Amino acid sequence: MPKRSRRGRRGMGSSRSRSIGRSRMCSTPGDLSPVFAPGGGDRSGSARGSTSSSRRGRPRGSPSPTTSRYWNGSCSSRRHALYLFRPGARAGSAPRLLRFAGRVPRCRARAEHGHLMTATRRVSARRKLREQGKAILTNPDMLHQGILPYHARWGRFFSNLRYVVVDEVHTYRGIFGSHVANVLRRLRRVARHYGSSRSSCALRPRCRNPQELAELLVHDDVAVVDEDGSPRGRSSSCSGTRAPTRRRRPTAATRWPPQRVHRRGADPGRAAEARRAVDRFHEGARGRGAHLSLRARAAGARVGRPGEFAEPVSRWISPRGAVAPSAASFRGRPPRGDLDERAGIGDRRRHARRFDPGWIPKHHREHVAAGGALGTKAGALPRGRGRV
Amino acid sequence: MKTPSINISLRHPAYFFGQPVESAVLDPENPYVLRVAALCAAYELPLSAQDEAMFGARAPAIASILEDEGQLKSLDGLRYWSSSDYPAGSVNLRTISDDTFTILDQTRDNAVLGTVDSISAPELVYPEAILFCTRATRYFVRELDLKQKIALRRAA
Repeated sequence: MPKRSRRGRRGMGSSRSRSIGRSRMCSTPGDLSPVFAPGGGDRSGSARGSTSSSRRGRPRGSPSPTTSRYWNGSCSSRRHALYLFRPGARAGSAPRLLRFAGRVPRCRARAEHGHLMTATRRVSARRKLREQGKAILTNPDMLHQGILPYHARWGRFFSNLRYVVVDEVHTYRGIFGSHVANVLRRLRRVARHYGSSRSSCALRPRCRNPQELAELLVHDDVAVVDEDGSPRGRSSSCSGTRAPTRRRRPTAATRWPPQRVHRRGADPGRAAEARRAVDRFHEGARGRGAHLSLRARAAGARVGRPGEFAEPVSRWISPRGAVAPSAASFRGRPPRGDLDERAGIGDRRRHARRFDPGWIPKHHREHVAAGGALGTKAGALPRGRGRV
Repeated sequence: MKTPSINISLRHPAYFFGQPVESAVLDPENPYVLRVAALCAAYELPLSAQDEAMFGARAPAIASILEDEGQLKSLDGLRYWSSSDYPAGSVNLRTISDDTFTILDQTRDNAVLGTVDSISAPELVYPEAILFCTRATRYFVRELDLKQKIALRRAA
């Protein structure tokens, strides 16, 4: 099949976006753009991939626009869905996704049929979701060892399987990704055996080669949608590391993350030093025009600086001191009331993070996921000002 | 600045922010990966020529080898799983082989730090190798026991 040009795919995505409209797509604020052009090709089914920024303006654990669309359209008596999430990363988010779906009016009834299938589910629960489940959330390991080998018991589900959503596609790489690609081929084969024609959707491939990766993974022609129409401000990043410490005073005062000082119950002198280090970092960041995220301010509050966020955000602080890459810092606060009221959390424009070369790929992905364009103008903080 | 790499990265941020995100690489047609996939697939449903084409160009050859090994049986153009075992139960998606070496840390009372498959073990945990683990932690491999399939190491 001749591949479409990149412009052609984008064009299809845009026109489809206009035809569907936001009202049908969006269940959360800030999820406007990712609509997927239908993947063509002589291979059965169709696949889509999105490189949209993640969690922009959405509470953590809420479904992405694609997930919402698939979720809304999937849970019927004839169209079942399989949501594949990476073990560990999405294990905590999957139940939240189910709960969130229950808060969306259109999904309220359908969410009752959503089930989480993991290795920890009891036998009775597995039997129930085999008989009644219409949207199964599971991980590759469970699909590999617990579902596909027993496909005869899952005949009802496989015969109605319509959507396969693979989340966090960029995590499926190397040996694990190669195995998962073959697991998805086995899934496709079993689904075909039961007469279902499923459609695949790959989400958030934060990598350089999203189309190649998604095509290898789902074994289908993939149309990449890399336009992100979600509301966002200009994003930039500033990076800092700890100040050069004097050997005669290698105290924790200049260490990052400073909250560790507090966690250890260190003496007040060191806590004060840590507080000053945080202040210096913040001053230096603000001097560069950065608006620190909540988590950065929380880091200051944690070491003794009282603030409005001191108490509620203490659990948001990463043990590594990494600053929130996006609005995910609101994960501890579930959305209440009208979801559109929370659109303001997407207004955060800049973020700072501790720089650690061991986490460069992770920081890089977070930078892109937070909306930072590649090649964003950024600079190190002045040494004298913030000592970072 | 702690290390030269941090120094360079912070003084030249374009080096960090100007580069594209890393590529993700996978190879579903790796013979070792394909072998276990073919076994699991044959357990689920008999393998036909169409199925083998789905798994890639190497799949027919892999299936033939498995048939020669006696793990698959051919009947009427279909290849069947010939055992009563459950192949998926012994296949770990995170390793390329079921045959693994365990990595022990001698400085922490032989605590298990991880595993490495036997195919990669001679390349990664050979004696006197410097092994980089999470967050750039370096370890010095002292011994590779091929019989007990363990690698002993300590912090470098």
